[in-house]
Amino acid sequence: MTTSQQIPFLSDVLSGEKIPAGKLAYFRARLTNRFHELFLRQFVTLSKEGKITRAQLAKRIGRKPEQLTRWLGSPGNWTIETFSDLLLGMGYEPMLFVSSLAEGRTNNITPPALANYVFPTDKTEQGSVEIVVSTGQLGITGSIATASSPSESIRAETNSALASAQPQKDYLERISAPQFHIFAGPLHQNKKLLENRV
Amino acid sequence: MNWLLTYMSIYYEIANRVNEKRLFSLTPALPGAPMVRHIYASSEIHRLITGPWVNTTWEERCGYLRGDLDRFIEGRVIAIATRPYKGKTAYMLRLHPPREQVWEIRSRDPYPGIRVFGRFADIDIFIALTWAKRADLAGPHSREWRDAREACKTEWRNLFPAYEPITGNGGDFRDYISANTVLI
Repeated sequence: MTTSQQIPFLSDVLSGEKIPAGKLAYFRARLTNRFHELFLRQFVTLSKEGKITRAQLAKRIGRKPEQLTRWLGSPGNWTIETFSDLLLGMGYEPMLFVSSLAEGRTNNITPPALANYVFPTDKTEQGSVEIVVSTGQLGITGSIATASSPSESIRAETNSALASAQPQKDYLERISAPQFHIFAGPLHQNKKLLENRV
Repeated sequence: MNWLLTYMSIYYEIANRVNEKRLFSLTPALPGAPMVRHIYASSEIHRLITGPWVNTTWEERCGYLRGDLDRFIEGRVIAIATRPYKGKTAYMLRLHPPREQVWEIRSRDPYPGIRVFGRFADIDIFIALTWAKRADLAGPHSREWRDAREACKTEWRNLFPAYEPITGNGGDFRDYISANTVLI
């Protein structure tokens, strides 16, 4: 079957040469979409639980409800500040990490269906939302994972990645492109998550 | 008389069109990324994704488009407008009139916005057939929009003369996309 991917997408990204404009754009879109999805999941989950409405969130961050409705549809003209405001309005803040693309890590987790997505209502670390944009040997993949115990998930994920990773030394020497780990969790949980991650 | 009943599904036809290089299976750009939904693209849309492009600006714009299409393919959460002319920022929309079953995927940013038109062959299987720059489509009831819908339908008939796109049962959007949608 003919597919659209004839040449490894990241071959020129990992070559250390100038990155083509289209690939820069691809990753910008990818990251923006990840931010948007994170917000969307969080907001929908809280809405289902009756914890927040569009009007309430809009009011909290000093925006009109119709603006919030537009942001639910797509990120549009979002900025990092917008993302921060939206998460903060729901009582969350993002946590970011970077690592190298060249570590040869592939994360191939299928995102959970939203209908099955259960967000925690208690005050433990259970079920925090995680977006991991991780590296592949020749690529970056992304996932959203929910877990009954994120710390266990992170450890398992790391062990699995270490077991399967085949770091390529030449890539490591030539490139050190960033990799983003994005979390959103209740503010009181972030410290624990960070400790687990470290 | 012995009757030989040969059942040919639209899947068989899709596979034929792919073998003929009239359709292309879009896979996530990044190796290992999940492939939860499927897009089969016409050659003109495939060219947007793979190039060559007329200039760097267009290459960049098409890079954004590919990121947006991967959002669908990877099964990420997407917003769907429930009614035509509403939810203008939604990722996806079924155009008016609904009976024509013409959908658009909106790659809104950056300018110029791009609209990818297509129809669903089955649940989670989108056949992306034509595209247009949003700025070239004028107002919502314009001749350009009608022409865009007609071009999409014509392309479908050329590819699948014996098959119709799926029709949602009573307008239930889960008949088109199984999960991870937010209706706005």
